[in-house]
Amino acid sequence: MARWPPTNSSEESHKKQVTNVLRQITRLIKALNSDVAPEQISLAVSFAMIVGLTPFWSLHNLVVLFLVMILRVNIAAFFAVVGLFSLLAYLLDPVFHQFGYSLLRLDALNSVWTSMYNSTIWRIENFNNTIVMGSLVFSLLSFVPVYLMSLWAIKRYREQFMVWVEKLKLTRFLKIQGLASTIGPHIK
Amino acid sequence: MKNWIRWKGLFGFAITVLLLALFFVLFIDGIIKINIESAASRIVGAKVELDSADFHFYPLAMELGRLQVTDPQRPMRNIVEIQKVSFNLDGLNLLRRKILINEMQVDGVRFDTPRRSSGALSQAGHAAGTRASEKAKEKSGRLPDIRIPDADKILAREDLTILKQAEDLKKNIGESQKKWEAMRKKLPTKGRIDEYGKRLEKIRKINVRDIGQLASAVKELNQLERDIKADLANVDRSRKQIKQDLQKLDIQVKALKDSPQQELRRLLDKYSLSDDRLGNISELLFGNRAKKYVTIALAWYKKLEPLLAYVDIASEQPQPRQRGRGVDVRFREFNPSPDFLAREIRASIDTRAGSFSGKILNLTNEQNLIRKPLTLNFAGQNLPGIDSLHVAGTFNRIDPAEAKDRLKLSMKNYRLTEYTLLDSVDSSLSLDRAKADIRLDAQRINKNIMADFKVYIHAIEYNTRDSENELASMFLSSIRNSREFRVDASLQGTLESYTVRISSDMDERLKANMKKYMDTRLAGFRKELKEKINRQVGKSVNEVNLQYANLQSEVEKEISARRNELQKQLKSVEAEIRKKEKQATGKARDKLEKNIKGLLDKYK
Repeated sequence: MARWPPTNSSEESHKKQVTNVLRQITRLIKALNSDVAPEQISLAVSFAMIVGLTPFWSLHNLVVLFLVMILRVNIAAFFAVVGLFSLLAYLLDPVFHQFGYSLLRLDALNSVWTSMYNSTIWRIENFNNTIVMGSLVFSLLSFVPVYLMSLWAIKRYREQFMVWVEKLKLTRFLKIQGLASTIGPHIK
Repeated sequence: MKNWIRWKGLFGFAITVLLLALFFVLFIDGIIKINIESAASRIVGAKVELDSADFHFYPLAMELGRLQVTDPQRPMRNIVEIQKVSFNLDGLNLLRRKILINEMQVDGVRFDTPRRSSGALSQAGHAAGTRASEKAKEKSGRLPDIRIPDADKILAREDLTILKQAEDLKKNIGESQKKWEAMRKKLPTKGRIDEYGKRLEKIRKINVRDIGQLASAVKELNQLERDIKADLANVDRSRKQIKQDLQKLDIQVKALKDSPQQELRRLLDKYSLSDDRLGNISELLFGNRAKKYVTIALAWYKKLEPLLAYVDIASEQPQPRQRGRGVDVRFREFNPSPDFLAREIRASIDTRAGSFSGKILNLTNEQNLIRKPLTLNFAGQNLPGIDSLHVAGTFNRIDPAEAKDRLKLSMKNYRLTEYTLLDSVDSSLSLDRAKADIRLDAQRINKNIMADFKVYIHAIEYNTRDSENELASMFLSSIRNSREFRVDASLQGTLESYTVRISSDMDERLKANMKKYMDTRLAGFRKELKEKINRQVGKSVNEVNLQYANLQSEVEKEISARRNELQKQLKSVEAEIRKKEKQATGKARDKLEKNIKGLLDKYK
C-alpha cells in the first residue's frame, strides 16, 4: 500500500541526519549542563576536532582515540562534537585540499616529505594525501586555541546561560527528542 | 582535574581496537570485493562482478572467484569471465599502499560468455546495449541483381547519341563540300589548260632559221612555263587545304563507325549489365566485420592503456578529484618500486577451440621503475579446434613518453564451423566447415598504429541459401566452386584516425567468373541490342560514309586530273624551251662564225 505523503530514500536519509544532529546537540547540552570539569569537555572538543575534520580511517585517529580513552576526556562530549566537526569537514574539503596540496608542494619541506614518504608508518598514515595533510595540520594548529576558547566558552556558559538554557522549551524538546530517538527503537 | 589518567580507558581502547580488528577480519573480503567491483566497473563502463574474494592473512594472499566483465555494448554477455584468480602479496609493501605480486594464477579464462542478468550500469546503458546488439544482428543489404530488360524499350527510352553525331558529321561534310566547290572554281579550268597547249603549238610553228623569232619564242616559252607553274602551285595549295579538312572528317567518320559499339557499351553499363559490377568482394564479405573487430580491439586497448603507463596525478596540472578523497602526491623513493606490479601471471584460457596457457610478465603501470616491458606469451598445440596457436606480445613503456607495442598471433588449422560470411536479405553464405591459417602482426610506435592480418581459409564446406536473385546465385555458386581463399587486411593510421584495407584472391576469381557468366547469360540480349542499334543508326552512318566517300573521291579525281594535265603541259613546255634554246644557240654560233670569217677574209 502506498504511503502518503510519498517519501523516498533521500528524504529518509535527510531525516536521519537531522535526528543525528539533534541527538549530538542534546548530548552536548547534557555534558555542558553536568558537573563534568570544563577542561574535560574542552579537551574532548579539541580531540573531536581532529577526528571530525580529518578522514576517519586514518592512523592518527587511532592515537587520538587512545588519548581520549586514557585521558580523562568527556567521551560523550567527544562523540557529540565529532559529528558536528564532520559536517564542517565536508564544507571545508576544498580548503583542506588546497592547503594540503600547497604544503606538500612546498620546496622547503620537500626533503622532509621525501623521507616520510619512504617510511612505512607515514605511508600507512597516508600523509601525502592532500586532504589528510591539510585537515591534520589545520586541526593540530587549532588544537590549543580551540581548547582555550572552548574552556572559556564553557565557563561563561555555566556562569551566565546554563540556568536560562535549562528553562528553554527548545532544550526540553531536544531532551525529549534525544530520549525518544535513543529509546524509541527499543520500545518498539 | 585532579587525576588526568583514566586507567579503565586503556581497556576501553583495547576493546575498541579489538572490535575494529574483528570487523576487518570478518568483513575484509566483502570490502575488497566491493572495491574491486566498483573500480573495475568504472574503468570498463559496465558491471564487473565477483562471486567471492578470499583474503588470507598468513601467508598474505588473495583468491578471487568467478570474475565477470560485462561487454558494455552487449549487456547480456560477458566480454571475459575468469573462474579463479589467486595470488600472493608482499605484506610490507601492502602497508605502503603498493600491490606487489610475485606470482598470479589465472584459471579458466573464457571470452564472450552469456550472462543471467544485464550487466549495464544503468537502464539507459542496457537499452543502448540492446539496441547495439539488435543493430549488429540486422541483415546486410542486397546483392546486385540481373534483370534482363527489353531492348526495344531501352532504345525507345534512350536518345541515341550516335544519330546526333551522324547529323553533325553530315553538316561538316556539307561545309567541306561547299568549301571544295569554291576552291574548285579557282582551279585552272580545262579550257585554260588547253589554251596552254595552243600557245605551245603556236610557238612551235615559228621560223626556226630566224634567230630573232627563236629568241622571242624562248621568251614566250619561259612565260608559258611560269604560268603553268603558278597554276600547279594553286592546285597543290588547294589540295593541301582540302586534305586537312578531309583528314578531320576521316577521324570523325571512323569514330562514327565505332559508335554503335560504344553506344552498346554505354547502354549495358547504364542498365547494369556490365561484368565489373561486383567490385571488392572482400569488402562486402569481411569489411563490416573487420571494422567492427578493429573498433572493439582499439576501444579495449584504450581502456586498458592506463594499466601500462602511470599517470602522474601530482604533475603540473591538478587532476579532477572526488570530494573528500583528496589527491595523493608522490615523492621520490629511495628504493623505487611500482604501486602495482604482477611479476608473473600464469593464465589458462578456455575457448571453444580448446584450452591453452601462457604467461604475462611484468604487468605494471610503472615500467620505468623496473626497466622491463610487459611481455605475454601464450601457446597451444593439438587443441581440439586448432593444430597450433601462438600469441606473443611486448608492450614497452620503459620511457613513459614513448609507446612501442607489438602483438603477434599465429594459428594453424583453426577449425571454423558455421561461420557466417554473408547474411543478406536475399541470400546467405556460411562456412559449414573450414580450416583457417591466421597471422596477425600489430604494432604501435608512439601515435602510429599498423597491423597486417593474413588469413588462408581452406578445406571449405559451404552452406548457402540462394534466392531468386540471379546474380546472387551466380555469386554464391562461384564462391562454392572454390575450396580455398585468402584474405589480407591492413590497418594504418593513429588510434583516433585509421584506415582498414581488405583484399582477397576471391575478388579476381569472382570477377573472372562473373565475366564468363555475364557473357553467356547476356550474349543473346547483347546481340539483339547491337543489331537494333545498328538498324536504327545504320542508315545515317551509311549516308555519312557515302557522302564522305563521294567528296573524297571527287576531290582526288579533280585535283589529280588537273595536276596531271598541268604536269604534262609543263613537261612539253620545258622540252620545247630546251629545244628552242639549242636551236637559237646554234644559229647564233653559225652567225658569229660567219661574221668572224668575213672579217678575217677582209683583212687578208
